[in-house]
Amino acid sequence: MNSPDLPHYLACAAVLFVLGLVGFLARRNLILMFLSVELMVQGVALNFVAFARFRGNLDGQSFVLFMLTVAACEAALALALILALYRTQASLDVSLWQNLREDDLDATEDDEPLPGMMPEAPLPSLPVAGIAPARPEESNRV
Amino acid sequence: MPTQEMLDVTGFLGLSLRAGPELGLLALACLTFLGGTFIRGRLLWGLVGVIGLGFAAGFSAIQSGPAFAPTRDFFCFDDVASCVRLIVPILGMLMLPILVAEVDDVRAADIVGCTLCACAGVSLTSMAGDLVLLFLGLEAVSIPTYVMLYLARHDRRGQEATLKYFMLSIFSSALFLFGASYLYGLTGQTRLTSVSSNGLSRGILELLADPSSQRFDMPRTLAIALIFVIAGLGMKITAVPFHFYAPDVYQGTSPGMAGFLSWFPKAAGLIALLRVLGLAHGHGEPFGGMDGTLIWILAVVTMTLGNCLAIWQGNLRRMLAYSGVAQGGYMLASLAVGPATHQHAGGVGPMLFYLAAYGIMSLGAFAIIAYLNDPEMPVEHIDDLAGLGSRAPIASWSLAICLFGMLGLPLTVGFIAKAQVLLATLVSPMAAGSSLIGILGLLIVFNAAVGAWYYLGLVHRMFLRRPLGPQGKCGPKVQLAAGLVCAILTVLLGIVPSWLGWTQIRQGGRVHAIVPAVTMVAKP
Amino acid sequence: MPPEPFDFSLTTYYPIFLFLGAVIGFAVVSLLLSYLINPGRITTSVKQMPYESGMDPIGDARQQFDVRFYLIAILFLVFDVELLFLYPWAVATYGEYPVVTPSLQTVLFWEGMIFLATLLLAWIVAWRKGVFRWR
Repeated sequence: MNSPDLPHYLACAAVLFVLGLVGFLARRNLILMFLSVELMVQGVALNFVAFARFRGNLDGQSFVLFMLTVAACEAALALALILALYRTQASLDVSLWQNLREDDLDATEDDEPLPGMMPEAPLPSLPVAGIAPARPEESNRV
Repeated sequence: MPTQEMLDVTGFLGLSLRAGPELGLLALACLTFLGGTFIRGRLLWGLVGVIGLGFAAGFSAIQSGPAFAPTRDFFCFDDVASCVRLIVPILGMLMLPILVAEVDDVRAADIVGCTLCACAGVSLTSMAGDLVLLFLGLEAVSIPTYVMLYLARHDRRGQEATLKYFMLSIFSSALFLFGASYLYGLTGQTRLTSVSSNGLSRGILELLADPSSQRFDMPRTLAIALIFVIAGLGMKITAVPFHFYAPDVYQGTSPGMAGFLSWFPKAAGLIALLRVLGLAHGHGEPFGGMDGTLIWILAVVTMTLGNCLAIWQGNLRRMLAYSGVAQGGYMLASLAVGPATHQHAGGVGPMLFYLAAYGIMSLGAFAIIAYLNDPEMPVEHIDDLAGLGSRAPIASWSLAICLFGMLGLPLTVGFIAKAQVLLATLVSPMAAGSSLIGILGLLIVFNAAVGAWYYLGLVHRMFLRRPLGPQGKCGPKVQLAAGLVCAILTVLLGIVPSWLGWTQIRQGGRVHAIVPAVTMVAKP
Repeated sequence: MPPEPFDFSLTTYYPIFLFLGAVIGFAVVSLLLSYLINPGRITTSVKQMPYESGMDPIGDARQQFDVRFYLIAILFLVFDVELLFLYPWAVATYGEYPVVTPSLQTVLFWEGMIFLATLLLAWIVAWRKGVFRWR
């Protein structure tokens, strides 16, 4: 079994980064968009650590520490902001936020609602124990 | 491992003292956040902020003496840094009253603290000798900006503006980080500078010219790194493929906050670009290669599209947003000329001069718009300014002067700034070698002409039209005062530009004045 | 200095992979068995409902957290990240091979205290803003 070398780490980091990038561009849920950016940042962190190992110094690792701190700051702000936005719209759908645009541009309509945003079917209720279940009344008796 | 570098006390404390203005601003910001929860009041916290920034400016002015020897330090106290560290607190002092007058007493302390943080962030970016500090400086601008966007206006439109800015900003900083990680991997250090054999500082990109440790496919990997770094910073500069958020955010937020966005993040982005590309040091040889070409393309597209799109805008702040995009393009054009060489003063000095001039003019324009903005009857459309000349003569003349400056009419500081950028492109040694830089000069002239259309259109509306409907009340006088100061500075520095000329760049034992560069270009 | 080769190898982790295989195998086999030997596939709405020991189900299995917890979560981040810096700070200043001179140790100690004071300040600001008030 070959032990992983620098290119393997870089490839893994690039895959993480691109997954995050595609997620940011394709997702409509605000929280998922934010998490996609976090995924990109984690890809970069992997890059830094791999390069730090390859170069044999700790510069990259210390950069990762500061990066994580900034990511935490952004996470705190994102939570607060998304909460405030949710209170305004009662939804996390990013496509609701397109009032600001060029005058001659139409809003992008998306028919499909966000997953999890559909009202769910009411839950069934059990027949009460010890009582015979209700039967449809027969209309004509012989 | 190489020899273990032992830090010593005097060096450590000395560095901390040199970075005193920024550390002080950050400490004052913390105290402002804390104090704001005990004592409320716009006047108090506004004054605290202005006085703090005044001290920072004074301290920077005392420090900006002789340039330090080239080092590989974490902090890089060179001419670019001392120049920016003087501009930033002064513009911050003009910015604070505009912002504080827009918020209520409860939020005043928070917005003052955030502004102080952002000012410290731009300064820290300007003296970053290390990728870590550069990144932290950029984030010290961005993170307060998110908070300020929400504090300044939090109705539905303000929220949308905050959301757009926040999401795209964190996205772009992830792109920047990806490029930065490859830069680190290529050079094996996070320091942005190195000391070359002849004792001069040089950028890390030149390190890569060394044939040692060729493990990577260098040019391609470098291309990845540069493209991602420029894309990440391009969002802050609002360079054209990354400018989409700007008009929406400017339209959605309050006028004063739009003024903040028009300068502080843009300055941080431009200075960071300058640092990463190593333009602050001077190569001793013409700038070129891939980094030069990328900046050239970015500059041309940015100024042309920004100006052309501004013509079609009906919303005042959208128009000024596109105008800001175009102004960023002029500054990028100046960067595309490259660093100072033995024969040529380079484009960095004109860029810094343009940055200072644009800051004054832009803050002035937005201050007046904030002054005219009545919450009951907001100034949104450009036609809302119709007939302003007779109603509010001081405000309309100040706004007109700032617009003339951004257009680049003579007797304003904008003219001197544009002339310097133009001269830098025309007499650049690269202009002889390749026609690219010469074309850049022509495009700047063409764009200035396009810009005249919409800037003069605004002036025409203010003075030669009748008001279309009922007019709103004017806002706090302090915003008018800030706008007036900016307008006076625009004219004054246009007549006596040498008042901005406080710093020099040294290269190979020769002194190249970077600001104003007009005189330097004439006698190489 | 030649770059150190990566000496990390996945082979050290083979017991974990064995364990992982056993876990996944168990899950797949038990699901498959129950699918194969179940008598019929008659679904009614009552059969599909969440099982709560014969009671009527109250709501979904997925529960939303109270918004007020988010404020605590945001505040937690302040102290979460604190640790990230304290470990390297402690090791670099007082570790087995300290990279600083003893005189600088004193300076760095107070530097760390300033860092902690900043966090304390953030905590006081949050307190004054009423984050801890359970409204």
